[in-house]
Amino acid sequence: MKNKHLQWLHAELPGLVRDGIVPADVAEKLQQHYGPIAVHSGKKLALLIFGILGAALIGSGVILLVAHNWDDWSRSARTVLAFVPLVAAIGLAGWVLNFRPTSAAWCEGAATVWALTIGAAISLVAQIYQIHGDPARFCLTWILLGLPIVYILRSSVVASLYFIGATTWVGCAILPVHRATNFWYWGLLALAMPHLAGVWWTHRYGWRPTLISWVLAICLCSGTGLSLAGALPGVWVVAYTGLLALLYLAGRRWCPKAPTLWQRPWQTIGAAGLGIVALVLTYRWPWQEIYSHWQSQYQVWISGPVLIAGNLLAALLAIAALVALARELPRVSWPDLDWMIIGLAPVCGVAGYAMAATHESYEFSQVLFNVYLFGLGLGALVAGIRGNKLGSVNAGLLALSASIVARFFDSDLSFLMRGLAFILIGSGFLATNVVLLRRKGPVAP
Amino acid sequence: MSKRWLILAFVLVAVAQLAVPIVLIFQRAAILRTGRAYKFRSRPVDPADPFRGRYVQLAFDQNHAPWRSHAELQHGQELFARVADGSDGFAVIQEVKAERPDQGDYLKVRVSWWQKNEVYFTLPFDRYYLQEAKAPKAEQAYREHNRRNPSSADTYAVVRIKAGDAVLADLFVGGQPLQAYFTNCKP
Repeated sequence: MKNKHLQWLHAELPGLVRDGIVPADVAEKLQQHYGPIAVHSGKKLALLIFGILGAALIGSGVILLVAHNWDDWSRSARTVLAFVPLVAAIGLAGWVLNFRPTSAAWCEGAATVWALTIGAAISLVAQIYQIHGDPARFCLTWILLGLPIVYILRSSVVASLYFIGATTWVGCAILPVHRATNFWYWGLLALAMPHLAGVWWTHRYGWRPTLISWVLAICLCSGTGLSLAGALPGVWVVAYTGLLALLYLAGRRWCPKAPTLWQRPWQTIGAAGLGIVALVLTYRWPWQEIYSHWQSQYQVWISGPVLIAGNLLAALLAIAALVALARELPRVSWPDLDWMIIGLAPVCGVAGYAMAATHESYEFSQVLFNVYLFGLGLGALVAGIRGNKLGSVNAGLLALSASIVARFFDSDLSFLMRGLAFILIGSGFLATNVVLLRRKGPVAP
Repeated sequence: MSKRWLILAFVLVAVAQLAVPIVLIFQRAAILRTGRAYKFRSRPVDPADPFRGRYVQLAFDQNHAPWRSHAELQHGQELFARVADGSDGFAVIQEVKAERPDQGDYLKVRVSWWQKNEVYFTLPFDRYYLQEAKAPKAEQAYREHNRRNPSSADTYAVVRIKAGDAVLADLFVGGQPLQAYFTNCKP
């Protein structure tokens, strides 16, 4: 329960007991059930945020100062200067480990500076000795040297930076010569997963698992495509419908009672991403190249194992999503219609891809995703109305509108018809919101 | 993790983190000390690297060579380029191969693009880092110098090469090291 609600409950209970509305023993049980009000939690959070921000700013400032390249100084003097930030950060981390090991603000702040200064030291030595270097190798060295900080100082900020770094690495390693190594991305992600599992186990709706989950979910959205760079063109359709459905279903299963949108990263990214991907797949261009690539010998430069691994990865994501859906099916009810349709995304992805790869015409795949996007919107709308969830209703209306508007721009309908359709969609939005708000009762001033 | 193990892990990680840049320094210092010097004719411009500051981007005349193999090439692939001194005193890339040469000086280069029997590549020393205010001036100085002396061949990079690794030792404009050029003839 949110702290402000707890404060309200604790303020109300004595009055309710006094007026005889709630018996004293029930009031005590309620207090025990919901626990005490967290004292100064806002102050602690502010301290933590400012500690991390301050550390990141100081670290970046020091990097920029040294990056100025004091080339009037001798090479030895500049080399010593390059090591000063890293040595100072290690010293600070050692001090925190000894004297402030339980302070989240100290641990996160020191860990952030430490992680930044590793990259700075390597960069500055490269600057002093005029080493060009390979960005992919630099990025990999940096994140692997920084990874132990996640566990030594139990830093969730550095874990998030690590996921961003791993995704940057796979982005740098997209050249054909690197393609056999692109799949290491998943191994790199796995190295920081024990930290996420640990903080999730301690407090699944706390700031630590929530922050890491947002960063990881966003990173996965770009990293999956980059790691598939060596696979067949169009396989991304299977991979992304599988991945986004899996993110959503995992969020529903493991964080079902998240009280705020901020605490639902997997569901939010999964549903929003799937809406965007489904909308993109209603167009012609994602499908039209797939058949010609399958038929031509254009892909001869791709090595066999890379091709197999890419396709296997895409298939695994789709299968995992379907397994997750199958496990939830026995508990399906009307308000769950939206997530059931989300879980069906990989089925449409595989069917659409298979048809586009084996037939010269791609209309089937295009129509399939038009129907799917419409179904997704309708499912969210119905589930929202049944479950009295305004957010779900608006998401459903948005998906339906996107589906209709996208086809309106494709077709040759007159401005008059398009104008009328927009007015109808807008009216539908307003009417549904008004009805639902009335059903929820009067809004507090 | 007990505190003793945590401290041990901390020390090991700190040593590894310090070791990586130290190893880089020792490798490069050895090349600068004992590597053979070559002069590469260059053309600078000035972009920035968010981590390493301003640098002068160098482009070289010696960025292509005949490709005699029938093997398929890939963008970014590593090849070995044999280097020798040309008759004009500047370095010449004699040939490029997929295998490491048994003798003579060579460089590791990355394939940029290719056509029939010619391969174009990136040399491993195409950046010269210097103070942020000096990089745009260096580029301007180079342009000015070329305008005044269109046929001059006195703008080049001195590179030391050893066992395939190279270190950019200095950049010369108007026959002088860049630092001296700034001191002697302000652009």
